[in-house]
Amino acid sequence: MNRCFIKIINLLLVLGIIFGYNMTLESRAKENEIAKLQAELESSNNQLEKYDEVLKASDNTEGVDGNVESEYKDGVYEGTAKGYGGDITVEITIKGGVMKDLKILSASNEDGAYLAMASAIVKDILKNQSAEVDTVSGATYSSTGIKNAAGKALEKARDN
Amino acid sequence: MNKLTPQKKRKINACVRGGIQLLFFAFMPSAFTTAFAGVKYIFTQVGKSETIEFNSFVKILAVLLVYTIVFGRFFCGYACAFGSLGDAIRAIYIKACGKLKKKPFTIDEKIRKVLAYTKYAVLVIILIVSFKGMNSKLKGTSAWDVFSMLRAGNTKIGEYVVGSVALLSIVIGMAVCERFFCRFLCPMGAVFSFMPVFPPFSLRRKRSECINGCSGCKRVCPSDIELSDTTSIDISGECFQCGKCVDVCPKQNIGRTLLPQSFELCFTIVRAVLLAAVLVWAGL
Repeated sequence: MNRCFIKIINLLLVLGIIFGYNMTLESRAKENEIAKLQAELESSNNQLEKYDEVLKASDNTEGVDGNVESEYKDGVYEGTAKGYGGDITVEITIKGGVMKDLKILSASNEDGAYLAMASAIVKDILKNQSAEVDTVSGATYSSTGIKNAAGKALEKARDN
Repeated sequence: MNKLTPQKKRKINACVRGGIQLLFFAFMPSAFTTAFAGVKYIFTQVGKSETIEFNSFVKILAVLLVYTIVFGRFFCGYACAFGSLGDAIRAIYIKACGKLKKKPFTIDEKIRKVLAYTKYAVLVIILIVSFKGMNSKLKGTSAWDVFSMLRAGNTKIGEYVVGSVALLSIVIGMAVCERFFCRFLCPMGAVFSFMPVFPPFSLRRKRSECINGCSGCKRVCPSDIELSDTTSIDISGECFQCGKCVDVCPKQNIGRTLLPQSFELCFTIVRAVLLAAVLVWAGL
């Protein structure tokens, strides 16, 4: 009798702690975001003033050349590497020297939940424009597979 | 159904259980590691002071915990790939002992009772490691990892010496004691055992009708459980729902208050289908 109630109370306590923890972190994150945005707003206002001054000072309206020499050649490339239970094949699309897309073509021997977790690495790779990113903890094998496959595909894009 | 002899009934139940275990082993072999990855994930996030997202690991953990609260540890008894591995190894060992006319090795009950607490130590150690963010440093030390890799057909386990040795010792343990890993070492089992269980679906007995001195149910139980009386809502967190006690009771005195005993087999199949359905729904 007693044990059952203790278990129920414990369970509710743990759930409460987890929800409370998440809520505290979320409210803290929001506060930080607000502070950050305010700081950004201020600094960009300052910058705008500076730009205005520069514009006034010079009538020079020379366009900025934004074309940076990229090491990747445009095209679609595939790469394969070992994941958890087999090969993972990914496909990257390079456009204008920038990796625009990274698709997982096949990962038949990976477990669904792990692959879902590991797929978080795709965003990181695209953001960094490189396969040299941290693996997803908890889904190390699958995310390492995606990372290595993307690395191989990028190598092809470089060599081409 | 009623015309069947107890022996036949026991055989049918064993076959159904084996079949369900085989199906889960073939199609959902990673459920136990996924659920436990959810536990580790929660502690890793807390260690990093980051929010706990409701990701695929946590979802499967939540689904399994809710299922366990309703139906007890049916997952452990019928669906966990590692538990099924243990049952298979134990069955082979018993058969081999029979052929060789040797008495199977057993661990003393008192020692078993003490060993059952080891799993909480295992759980605490893993949680501390997760909290400190040292999981990646211990890569290759988990017996589960090695087992999952072998099962997935990946035989490159050379780097995982510690994990391989651990797996081998666990396999030996599984042979000499029924449900060795589940009872003594499983950290997920430790988490499950903390769950309250909905009593009307659990196995209990009418103690007043028990034969004096008979402890058939306790002797056949892989967890040495002394079943509660039907009036008690205190359900042991160690029960794997294997149902062996139901078949062995000479007075058919063990059952679930919400179900007549003749529905036991149907209930098993319903629970298995339901478990598979919720796991698929959760994205396994």
